[in-house]
Amino acid sequence: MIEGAGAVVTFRGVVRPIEEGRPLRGLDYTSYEPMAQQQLHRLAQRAADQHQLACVHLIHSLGFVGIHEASLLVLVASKHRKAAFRAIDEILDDLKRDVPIWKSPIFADRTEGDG
Amino acid sequence: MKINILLFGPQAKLAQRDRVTIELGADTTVKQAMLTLRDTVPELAESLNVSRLAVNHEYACADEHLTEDDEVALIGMVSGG
Repeated sequence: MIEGAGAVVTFRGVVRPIEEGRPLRGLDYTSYEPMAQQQLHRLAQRAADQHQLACVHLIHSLGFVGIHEASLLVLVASKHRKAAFRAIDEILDDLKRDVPIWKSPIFADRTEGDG
Repeated sequence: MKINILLFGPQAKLAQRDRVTIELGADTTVKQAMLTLRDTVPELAESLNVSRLAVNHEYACADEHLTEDDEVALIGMVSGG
């Protein structure tokens, strides 16, 4: 139970099985960790303040994430659903623009040029 | 003064290293550091157009001045989420 929440919305970002037209085994995530943590906390707080959220949880995987597995989990709770959906959308936009996390594809049909 | 710039992800791959040291004047700005980085590592030139420097874990403005004690990182081509 989340106090005051009439809407609890979760988003799972899942690794797709194809990248650049090639089948994937998964994605390898790296980050500039101290800055990534700071940026994630900041964008979550900004969303909470702007949309009067009851809570925000944001988890991003690092290291290898296989296809169909979740690399990102976002949970927001608010009084009404519109605020929750808007907040998740903004959180994702901010994350993709500002957070120093990088993905590197690990292809199923790995070739010498893949590195 | 010498500044180490940390590299990550595809930019580390382009430069084939995870940091680059550049030589700057004593009173250098972030903008000047980016220009020097472009000259020092030409492989990064194109990606610098969509990159920012972070100084001590914060995105820095072009006119911010750098010191030798700053932790500087090149942040570009991010792909989280």
